Parts: sequence; C-alpha cells; structure tokens
Amino acid sequence: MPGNRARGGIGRRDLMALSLAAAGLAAAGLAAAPLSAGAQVGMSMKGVAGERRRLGDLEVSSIGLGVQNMSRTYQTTIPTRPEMLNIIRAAYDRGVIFFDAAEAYGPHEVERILGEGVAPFRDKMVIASKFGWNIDLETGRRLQGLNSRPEHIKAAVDGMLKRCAPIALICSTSTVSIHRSRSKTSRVPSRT
Amino acid sequence: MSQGKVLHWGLCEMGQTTLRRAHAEQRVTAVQNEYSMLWRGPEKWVLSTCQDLGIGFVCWSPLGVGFLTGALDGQTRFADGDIRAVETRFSPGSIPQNLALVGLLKSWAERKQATPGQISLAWLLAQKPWIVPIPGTTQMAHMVENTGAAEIHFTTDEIAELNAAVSAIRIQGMRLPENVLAYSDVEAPSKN
Repeated sequence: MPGNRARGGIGRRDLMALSLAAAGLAAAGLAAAPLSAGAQVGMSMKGVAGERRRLGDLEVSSIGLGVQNMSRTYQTTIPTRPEMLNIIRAAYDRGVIFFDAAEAYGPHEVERILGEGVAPFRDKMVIASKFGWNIDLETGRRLQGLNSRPEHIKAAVDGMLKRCAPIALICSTSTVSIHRSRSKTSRVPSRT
Repeated sequence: MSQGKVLHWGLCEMGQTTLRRAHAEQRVTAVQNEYSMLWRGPEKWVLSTCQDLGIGFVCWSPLGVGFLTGALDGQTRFADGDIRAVETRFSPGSIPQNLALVGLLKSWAERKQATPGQISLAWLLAQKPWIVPIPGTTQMAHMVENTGAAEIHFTTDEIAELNAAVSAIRIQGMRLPENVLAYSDVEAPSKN
C-alpha cells in the first residue's frame, strides 16, 4: 500500500475527460497489459492529480512524474523493475498523464521501463523525452559530447518511439550545441 | 514533426536568444529548466520570456534533488556517482545554511497540514498557471505524496508571505558542477 503521509487522498476528483485523442501513431498494437496490483490500489484514490494545465496548447496533468531514476537511482542502486511499473500505473490512476524521460537516462533503459509502464493506457499519455547527448543509437553507449545533427535527431526520435511510443512531446534542443538542451521529447497522447 | 512523430517540442536550459529564435522557427510548447525554492534562476528571464511567448514551463528537480523534502541534512554523505556529491550546495559547508529553507518548509507544512515536499511543489504551482513540476521518485509512497501536492492551494496573502520568506533565504553553493553547468544558458550557434 502506498504510504499515507501524503495528503493525496483528500479531495479526490474525477479525471477530467481527456480530449486527447489517440494519435495515429498510438493506434496500432496497443496490447493492454494487465494492471498491476499497485495500479488497482491507486484506483481508489483516482484523480488526486487530475487537475489539468496547459503547456502552450498541450494539456497535461498539473503534476507530472519524472522517471529518470527508474533504471538507476542517484544513490546508484537499481530499483525493482516491477515496482517501477506499479508506480507509473498508480500515478496514472491518480490522474497523472504527463511522464518525463530522456534518451540519456539509462541510456535508453528508462524509456523502455516507461513504455512498458504506460502500455495499458499509452494512448492517453503525454510523454516527454529528450535528445542532445551523443548516444550510440544502437547500443545506448555514451559517446563524447553532444549530437543534435538533423539525421541523428531523426534516428533518435525513431528509437524513442520504439521504446516508449506513443510520444507526444519531444523537447529537444534545436541547439546543436547544447545539451542540457538535450531535447526533451514528449509526445502527446494520441489525438483523434 | 512533419511526419507526425513528434507532436510538440521544447528546449532545456537554453539561452534566451536561442529560445526566441527557436520559437520563431517552430512554435515551442515548453521549456524545461531546473526550478524550485532551492534554485530560482528561471525568475531572472526564463519565466517572463515564456509568459511573453505563451510557452509552458516544466520544472526539473522541483524538490531540489530531494533536499526540499527534508531528506538531507548536515550529516548526509553521498555515494560515488551520486550527482549530488559534486553539487556544492550540498557540501558539508553549504548544507547547514541552506537548511534554513527546510526549516521554513516544515513550518508551512504544519500550517497547511501537508509535508515539506508538498509545500515545495504547491509553491511552484502557485507561481504561474502554466508551470508543471515533474517530481521523480522510485518509491510508491513518495509518488502518492507528490501527487497530493495538487490539492494544496495558497491564498493571495499566503503566497505573498511565502514568496517573501523564500526570497529572504540566501542559498549557498552551486546547483551543478561547473562542467555540467557549462551546457546551461548557452546560445546555439548561428546557422551561418
């Protein structure tokens, strides 16, 4: 059970109807994975973070979930993967539809975890990912420096889509030279 | 984007001219920078620029890499490889001074019947309606706590009081090591 020190159970509200339609991208092959026990527990507290905000014209939950540490924590330990999937799904049950990842986290592994976590409802998600670091597209190995050359970005985005499609928002840096400006990709849920 | 793979895009930690250039080229949905009570750098120009251009703002490390939850103190030491070990704001010399912020958060947590981390997130949400924090976690209880922050609201007087109290605390130390910071607030080279 989730701990109860948070104030999360208070004032639950229904999820707002998502006007996000599934994008054509998302449409194909979304095999729904069984919800985890954690997600089902979360359902009883649905909608705590159901309030919506706008980033430009993109609607997201007022609070998102960062998944950077889900392949390796700051403390350098490796979290239990099934529990990470539980957390992602329980967050969704609480109204979170905005998830933030990056190609560099893992590298690649965090996007895989997120893709698996959101699989049951990924047509409703806004997923942000980022590029900019020079990461080997096949192996995920970190190479020197930055890489935002157009051909690299296109291939990096294709990789993101495979690992955690559908994507809504990709933040990238158009800046060929910046990292942190690694872009973020996010994708919005599909829209119909 | 023209292929429908990326529905929105944004930049992280970019320079001001780069943001304006990018937005003129292809509408930017969101900027993602570090922003929290512990690092208020975006208040210098990023937030006002986002407001001018109608760009949303996503806060990374909205809990100050855990510091604002009260999880670190003067006795905390970090594992090799933990990025916080090389952020001088968490050095043994800086933490005692910076803990004033945690003290402030604890008093507001009591006042609002919340946790220090929830006050930190609610403070971000209260700054602008187009700000979205993305707290990361690998613990179910923390996810529940973080999403619960969406339920905490401040009156106009409360937020004015809290803003003033936060502004009065001087944070010591750098948010990132120099070699990483070098990638922030950098302008992209011109095309020519």
